[in-house]
Formats: sequence, structure tokens, C-alpha cells
Amino acid sequence: MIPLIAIVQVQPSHGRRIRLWLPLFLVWLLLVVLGLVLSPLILIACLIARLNPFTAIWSLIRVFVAMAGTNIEVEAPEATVIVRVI
Amino acid sequence: MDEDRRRILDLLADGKINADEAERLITALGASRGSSAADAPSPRKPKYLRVVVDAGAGYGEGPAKVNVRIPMQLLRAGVRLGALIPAQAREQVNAALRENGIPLDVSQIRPDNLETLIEQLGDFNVDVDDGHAKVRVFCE
Repeated sequence: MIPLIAIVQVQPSHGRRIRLWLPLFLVWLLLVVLGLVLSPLILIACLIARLNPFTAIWSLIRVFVAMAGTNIEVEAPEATVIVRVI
Repeated sequence: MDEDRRRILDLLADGKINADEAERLITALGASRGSSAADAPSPRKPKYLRVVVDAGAGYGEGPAKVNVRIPMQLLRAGVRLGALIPAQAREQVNAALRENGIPLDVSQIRPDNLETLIEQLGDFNVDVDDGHAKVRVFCE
């Protein structure tokens, strides 16, 4: 299933903790609209690169879908940053 | 020779069973072992690639810890994305790999090969400790 939310948490060593819930479904919606607007350009780019546009788009969708479960934690003296894709 | 088989042969040698009975018993023994081997759980497929870095105070700008968990699905999708590399760029990638001592043709990486690779990654474990930092790469 396509990830719907990303959580970004920043904890500076001195200061307030920032925790953001990013609604990825809005990003996907924007990407769909952008993809439709730019579809002629995407088609031309695929023709130049001799790629099947459907294969290219499907491969990109697979990457987005596979991002669910990604977890990145970086802990440094200045701050701790955590990114989770759910 | 295992104990059960030896016991059957002892019974045959003592004349307590005949050759046909011994053969039936040995066949039954082999069949039960075959089914128990088939029931054995298949090796666990790893779901995530994990990279853990623990750099001490004497490394770079100070102590730092990095913990990255990447779904195997993302690796699969990434390799499939490699099929979209245009032929000219693929040649450049291959040339760069060759220059760095990796004679690999990226166009030869197929999803089947990738599945085999991922299955084998279950036992993959890299531990590097240079005194200042520890790096661990493993699958879970």
C-alpha cells in the first residue's frame, strides 16, 4: 500500500522538540495532477530515451509504494532527527 | 547408519522379521523423514536492510548515531527502476563500475536474480569497528 503519512521529528539538544506529521496522500495527489499536466513532456522524454512510458510510470509508482516502512534516525550532539514513512 | 535403521537390520539378522518386512519398515522410515523435512520451515525472507552507525567522540565532528531501516521492497523497486536507464547512460554506469573494479553489467540484473540475492541476504551481516566508529549492516 502506498505510504500515506511521513513523521519528521527534530529534537535539538537545547530547545523544543518539533514533530511533524506530513500527509503524503496530498503529495501523491499533487504528483498525479502534475503528472497529468506534464504528460506530453513525459511522453516526449520517454520517446527520446526509447522507454515505454507506462513501464516508466509504473516503476516510479512501485518505488513510492515500497517506501512504506522506511525509518531513518540520526542522532548528533546538536540534534536528533527521525524520519518515518508509514 | 542411524539407530532406527540399525534396529531394523538387527531384527532381520535375529530372524524376528523377514526381508520383505524389513524393506517395508525401511521404506516407511524414509517416507516419514521425507515428510518431516518437507514440513520444516523455509528460511525466513528478510524484510528490511538495516544500517547502524555508531561514531564515537573522536570521529569527525563528534559522536553520532545513525540508524537506517530500508524495506527490501524499496531495493526491489530500485533495481527495477534500473531497467529504465537509457542505453547510453547504462554504458557510462558500466564503465564507471569497471573502473572501480566491479565488472558488472547493470542491464544483466534481472528480477529473478534479485529475488535469489534477497533470499540469501538473510544471513548477511557486516561488522566494521575501527576503534572510533562501528558500522553494522544486516538484514532483518
